[in-house]
Amino acid sequence: MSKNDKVDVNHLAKLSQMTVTPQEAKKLQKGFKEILKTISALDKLKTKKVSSTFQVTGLKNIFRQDEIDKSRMLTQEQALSNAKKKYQGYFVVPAIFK
Amino acid sequence: MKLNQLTITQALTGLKTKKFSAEELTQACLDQIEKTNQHLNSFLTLNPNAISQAQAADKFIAASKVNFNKYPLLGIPYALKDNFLTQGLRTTASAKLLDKYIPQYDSTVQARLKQAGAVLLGKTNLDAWAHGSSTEASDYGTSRNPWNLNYSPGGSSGGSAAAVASHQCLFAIGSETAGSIRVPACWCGVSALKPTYGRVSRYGVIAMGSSLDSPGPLTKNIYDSALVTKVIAGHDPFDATTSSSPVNIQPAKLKLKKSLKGIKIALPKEYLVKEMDDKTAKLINKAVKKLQSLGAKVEQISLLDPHYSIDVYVVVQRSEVSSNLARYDGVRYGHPRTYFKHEAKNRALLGTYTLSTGYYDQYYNKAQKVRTLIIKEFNQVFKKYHAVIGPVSPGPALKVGSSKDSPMFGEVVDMLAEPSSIAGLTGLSVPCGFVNHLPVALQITGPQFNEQQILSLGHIYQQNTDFQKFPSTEYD
Amino acid sequence: MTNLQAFIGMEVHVELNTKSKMFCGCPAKHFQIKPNTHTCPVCLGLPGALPVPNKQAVDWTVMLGLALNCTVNKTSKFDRKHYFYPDLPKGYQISQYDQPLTQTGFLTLGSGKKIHINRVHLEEDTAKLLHKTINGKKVSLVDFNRSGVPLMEIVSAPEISFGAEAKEYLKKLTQIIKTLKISDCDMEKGSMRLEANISVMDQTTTRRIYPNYKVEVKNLNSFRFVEQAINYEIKRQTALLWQGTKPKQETRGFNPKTKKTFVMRSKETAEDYRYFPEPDIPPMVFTNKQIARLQSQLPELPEAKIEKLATKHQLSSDIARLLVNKPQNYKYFIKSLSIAKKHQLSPQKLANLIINKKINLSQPVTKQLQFLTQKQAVSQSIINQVLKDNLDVVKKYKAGKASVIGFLVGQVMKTTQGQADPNLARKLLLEKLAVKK
Repeated sequence: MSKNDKVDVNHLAKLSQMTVTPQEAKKLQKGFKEILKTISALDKLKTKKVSSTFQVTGLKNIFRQDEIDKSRMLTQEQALSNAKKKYQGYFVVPAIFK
Repeated sequence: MKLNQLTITQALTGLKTKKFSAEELTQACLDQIEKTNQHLNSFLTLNPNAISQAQAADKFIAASKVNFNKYPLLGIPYALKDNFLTQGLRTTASAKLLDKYIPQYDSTVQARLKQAGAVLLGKTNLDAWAHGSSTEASDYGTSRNPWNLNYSPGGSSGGSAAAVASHQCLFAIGSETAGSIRVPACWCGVSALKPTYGRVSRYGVIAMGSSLDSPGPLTKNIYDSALVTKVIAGHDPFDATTSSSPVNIQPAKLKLKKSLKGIKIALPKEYLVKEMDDKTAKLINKAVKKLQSLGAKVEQISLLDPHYSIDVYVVVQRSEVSSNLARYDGVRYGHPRTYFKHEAKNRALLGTYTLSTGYYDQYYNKAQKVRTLIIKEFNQVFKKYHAVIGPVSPGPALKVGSSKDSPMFGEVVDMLAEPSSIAGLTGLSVPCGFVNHLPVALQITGPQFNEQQILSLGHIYQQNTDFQKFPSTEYD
Repeated sequence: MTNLQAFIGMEVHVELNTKSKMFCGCPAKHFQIKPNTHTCPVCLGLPGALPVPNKQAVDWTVMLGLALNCTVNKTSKFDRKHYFYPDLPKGYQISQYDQPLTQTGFLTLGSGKKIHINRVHLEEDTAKLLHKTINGKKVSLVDFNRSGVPLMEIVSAPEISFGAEAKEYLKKLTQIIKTLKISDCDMEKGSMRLEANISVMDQTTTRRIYPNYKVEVKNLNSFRFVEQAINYEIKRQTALLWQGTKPKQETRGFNPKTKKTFVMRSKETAEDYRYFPEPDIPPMVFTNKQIARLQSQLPELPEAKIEKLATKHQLSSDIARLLVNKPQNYKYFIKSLSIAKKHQLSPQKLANLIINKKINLSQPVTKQLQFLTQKQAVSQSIINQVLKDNLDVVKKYKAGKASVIGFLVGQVMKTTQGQADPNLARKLLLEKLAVKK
């Protein structure tokens, strides 16, 4: 991890679809520099032969049977209940041009 | 004593012996909320059906006494952190983006509490999206510490902690990713339990750090924490990360043990961090002596510096946060993404960076490897010791306003809770004294799925000390 | 540029016909269902919802991998693939990245050429988008009934060389999937979607194994269009290379009317999907026993069936293939074998009758065979006629030239327009000749 990793805040904002004003970007940039410097301490620890832990429970092979579960199904009305724009049972979004 | 000042155990006894009704109990809480919420800002939304739920409980109670076995929290009023979905009742995660969101389903925790007969008073304040350790990042204004309104109640479950400490409810539910139950419990002087990751279902909890989030109770004593956890814990087919192992929590057995003879406890010297307040350090040492006087052996050990845990936690949590915020596009619910405020952007952007192509290995993957080191270390410790103790927080509550201009504020405050959270362990917070009239607490951490062991330790310690106190709430 | 070669890889997405969706218990059926009526918190991507994987979908994906000679990854997992699009409710798709359920298999074409399969993995389908104008304004409508349906992805290595090979690959792949009965592979319904990645490279001027660019062609709605699109692309890219221009890395569509591809969007930089292991789903671990059990559950696959027909019943591979390609024909053939034997009808003859539609598959075979062999019995009078018409040949036979029997058999066949059973004709002729002294 290089301490000189320059973070392109605007690129990250685009990737994560967040709007960032120039002032915000400046503040975030400064903050990131600080954070990245701090977390670079992890480089000191030897982990070449260590495996990653993605699941602390140790659980494996958790599945559900291929059955229909009516108990959680929503009615069309419920599904649409919090939508700002709806039309004849559909959610409405700005036109996507193929 | 006012009804809302009772513990769960006392209230259950009173209800069973018909000393008062569930409606009276709920009304007492609602009265307290009305009186004090303007100062504490602990509740965001009240449940308009609270009284009718209490009345329904009264009908049950009138029917037959046996009901209390089937409904272990029958008639008990509680508060629910506002990142737990409640069907038909607005849920916001304290974010304006979800200001108008009315969930179409109940979180599993809520469903189980309802099933147990408990009465929902309302939803409590948190740092928006649970991104914080002081509740100051709430889009609805910070909550305040019932011990001193100039101070923060901690976070992110600050509203829940303040509600319990001020007797606005008999218990509250919070969630912890790293410190968010234990730190506010500590700062507000209440008892709390962070169950093992995978012990309590996350289904219906607005996700923050998916591999870390653990729902748990904040209560007026350790025994009550055991009661509540027993109701909400256990396998959930809707959450693939919940364990099918039997729930090891037996409240009745807690009362049987009186001494800590044969118990071996570890105190990592690295937990007495440089940031630690002298007075707090003294209280921790006092607690150690108390445990020893009760028969426990307390030994100092060396563990990985908790500062490394901050680094692991920042990377893992923010990566998962950036992913978990991706669904809020304003189409099916909520406002557009322009409603995200600074802290959410801060975390999401860094999390996007640590997951991006070219950086995944050196950040996310690396952090998950150090995570393995931390887990292995704890595994070794628990081969020799029953529990690990230390301070919950380097000092008592901080003043409101301390989180400003600090890009890693939350994660630094939570430093001492992070190692156990990263390892998915269970830990409790039990009051152990006061510094400048503000509460301080001891954390007791145990191995995965062994809540009973630490609850027993905490209960015995609490029974033999007198630090579980509550502030006066005459704020006017 | 002396050795320009095309490298084509196929990416096929197939919807599994499970009862329920991939990560929740909603019905997987979405074709012609009222919009947003088969949803739940999980597939609608509501706050707090969590995925739990469908075991059947996992097993079926492993089985297809095994049928394609793939290795099953003993440890597999799901990963989150991030991008923003209105048909993706969580802002990420739960898919598989570096530890897919199965990988490195192959499918053999008729020519004997092996097309390697990089992976067969499992993911969830997206919602459906419709485009409409409401009150003069163009909008898109979203229906989440399809969101979360199990989707298998089969990715081949870029070893296909021209359109017809791609078509054959797709036909064979589809046949295997249908034999496993895990999808109806219906392109009109959208349960099968095709994408071709096409590149052309001059093999003499580079040491690369594969080209350093690729053109993705999407929205191909039939195998025929795939073939045409590929052939057009090879031409187009070759022309560019001759001009000294490297073809642009882009996504193109295909126009069936003009039989040409057109640009959809430029893909100069790869998308950053920020893959990471799905924290809400524990990993999947397979034991040898479990894999063996799934292997044993595989039905007899087309290639195996064809080989069996060839070795057991001496059918030519062409005939065998024709039978196997039409499941009703194959079923009928197998069912009728013993009855055909009773009527002294050879398997080859039976196969021919079925293929040439001389037999009605909806009718039981016994009656039809009786009639057909009766037809051959009719040749008795024809036998007499042929002998009568060829007295000089009969004389030659009687004189000791036994080989002329072949000519007489030929005459019987000619008279019956090939309907007679030549063996039976021969037998009857010999009988008659023996009698006729």
